[in-house]
Amino acid sequence: MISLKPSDNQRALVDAIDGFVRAEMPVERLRSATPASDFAFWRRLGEFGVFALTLAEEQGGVGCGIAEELLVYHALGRKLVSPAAIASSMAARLALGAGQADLAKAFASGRTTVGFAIPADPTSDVAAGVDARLIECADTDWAVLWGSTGISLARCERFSGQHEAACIDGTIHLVRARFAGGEPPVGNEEPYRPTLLVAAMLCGAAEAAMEMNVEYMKVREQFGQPLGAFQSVKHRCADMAKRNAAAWSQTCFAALMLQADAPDAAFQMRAAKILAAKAGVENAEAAIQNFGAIGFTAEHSIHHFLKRAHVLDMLGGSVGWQQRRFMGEPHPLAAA
Amino acid sequence: MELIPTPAEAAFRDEVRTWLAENKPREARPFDGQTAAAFDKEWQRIQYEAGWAGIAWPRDYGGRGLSVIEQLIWHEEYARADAPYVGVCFPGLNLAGPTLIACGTAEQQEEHLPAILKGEKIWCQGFSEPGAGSDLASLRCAAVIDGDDLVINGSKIWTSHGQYADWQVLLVRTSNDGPKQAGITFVIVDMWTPGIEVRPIRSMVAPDHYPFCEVFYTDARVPLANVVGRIDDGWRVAGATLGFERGTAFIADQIHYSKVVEELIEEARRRPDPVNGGRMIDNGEIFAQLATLRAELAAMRAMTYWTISHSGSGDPGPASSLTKLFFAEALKRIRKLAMDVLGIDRLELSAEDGWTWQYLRSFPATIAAGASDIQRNIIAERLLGMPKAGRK
Repeated sequence: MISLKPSDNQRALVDAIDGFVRAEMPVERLRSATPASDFAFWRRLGEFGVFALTLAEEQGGVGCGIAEELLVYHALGRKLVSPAAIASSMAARLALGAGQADLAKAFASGRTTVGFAIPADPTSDVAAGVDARLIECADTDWAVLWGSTGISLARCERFSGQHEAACIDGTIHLVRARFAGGEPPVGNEEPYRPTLLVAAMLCGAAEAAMEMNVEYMKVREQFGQPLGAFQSVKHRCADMAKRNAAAWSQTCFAALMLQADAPDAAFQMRAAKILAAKAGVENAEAAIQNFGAIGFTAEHSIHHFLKRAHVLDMLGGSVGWQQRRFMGEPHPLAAA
Repeated sequence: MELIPTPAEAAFRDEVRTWLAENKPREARPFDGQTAAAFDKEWQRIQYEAGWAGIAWPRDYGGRGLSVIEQLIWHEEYARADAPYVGVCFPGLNLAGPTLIACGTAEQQEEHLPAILKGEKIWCQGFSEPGAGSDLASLRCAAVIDGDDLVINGSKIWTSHGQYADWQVLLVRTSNDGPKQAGITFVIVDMWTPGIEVRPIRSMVAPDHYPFCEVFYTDARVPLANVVGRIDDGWRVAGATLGFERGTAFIADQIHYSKVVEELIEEARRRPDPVNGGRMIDNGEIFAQLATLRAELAAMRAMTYWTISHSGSGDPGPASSLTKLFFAEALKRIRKLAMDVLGIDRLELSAEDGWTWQYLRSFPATIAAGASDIQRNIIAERLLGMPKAGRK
């Protein structure tokens, strides 16, 4: 039996977190946001268990599966919550897996923040000497190293030649640096789960961009009728809905396959990341076209969706890199 | 959102796989129309006798009474086994059958549903008219009540398999009062009724390709007992049919196309690229398109699970337009990409199931069963609540 419909229990869990994010973290907050300023919400998100969803209850976690976590990150994606949320959640798991319970607790509670380090070359891991980008590592001691074959945890001080750069997304902290290596990183996990969480955030952002656009197209009038009555406009919106449906169905399906440890888990995960990244970028692009000039202003929020989609595309491997890996995965229909 | 593997489902899958491996036809499905129709009916009869027809249909009508999940497992295994295309049995199994289960009288169900499952009767669909295509509700094929009969005059067009069909689901105009949707009646018609003439229409694909027909009705008398739903209530009944057509009816096709993408990837790995050197797969643009299509077909399966999770085996409503639109566009891009992969060989219309033939055959995907433009209108207006265009 397989169901892609959230159960009542799953809905209840998500609604609690979603209610907080909707009330306290409207996307309009980003208008005056500075890099990594979402960390101001980290302790509150930690209280809701956002960073400890899949940790066991006896370890201070919520004891959920990846399905519940996916729904939560979809809700966070809708409000463009910093992807550092995924770093916190991963860091807590990695620290716990390495037997560092206190450190895990610090990450899970949101008291200690953590960002990402990704290699400039997506085919490599974050090894000594590698050119890397630190994302949301502002005033953080730790970074989740996210390479092509695995994720682990290291101190930010292990990166040399740090040079802060202006990020395409002005609300995200970006630093160029080189990994110096040194003491072995903490923990090791396959990158499947966080990649699906990125896909979930992309799906949430793609959906919110569509809704924001659709609502405006219903009320903005030109030529004596709402813009949304024009076929060229509404068809762009229909295409957004189509991309959302495909990307989110696939992301949910991939999560269940991963949870079940199915042989095609990697195949499904990569398909999900490809479609979610395309939906995130293409929905924001289409929405800006529909909005017209107001969509090109700093005042309107839609540009944040476009920029965030590009940041999320780089996490866990861009579309191009995922396509390369995906084509090497056996097809589930042939694998039997 | 959960996955609970059940031993019953696993056992069912094993059973299906074993049976298909032992019983699927050894010979390929013929191309010639009449021969293919006979092949399709015989293969359907074999499936029925082994208990594989109508897996999710009620037992009372000769079905297996299982859930739509078992039906999906059947389709997945069917595609995996490369079993033959359903062919002329499609409209009966996927359009007429589900509509009669949902809206038919006990007599209609008893007479027709077992015959559909056994492959005894072929069905076709009479919806579109020369003057009513995308604007289906403006149809004019007229029926007047005369005693216990409806007397039908007018014509229908783009009727797939019309030349092989024994029965038809037909939309007729029974009233011109009120909104155009309100005067339509859904009726089932014996194609051998006097006054019905069928003329096959040749397609652009090839000289011998007649996939659809025009059907003419001259004082054709059909018993009132053949009305499905009530007089003037046909738009609602047709809505269910169209929902099936756009929703889960194409599951088998969708799964089949994920295999077509795999075949195209193999083709691109095999064929040299005379322009850029290397193989076709090494061309970055072709590689990226293949990868995207592969991901999209994977998502097609996930979208099917999504639909089933939210509406079971019932009418999925306007959300079905999402899958219809998504699949139709992917299908056409697969066929077009194949032309790039083929290089000079694209010029040869050799085999009837070859890539070139299929490229030409792919154009109706975004036209039939509601053009993609109509699907986008449905998505925007009925799912997203956007305003309708100003109509004069």
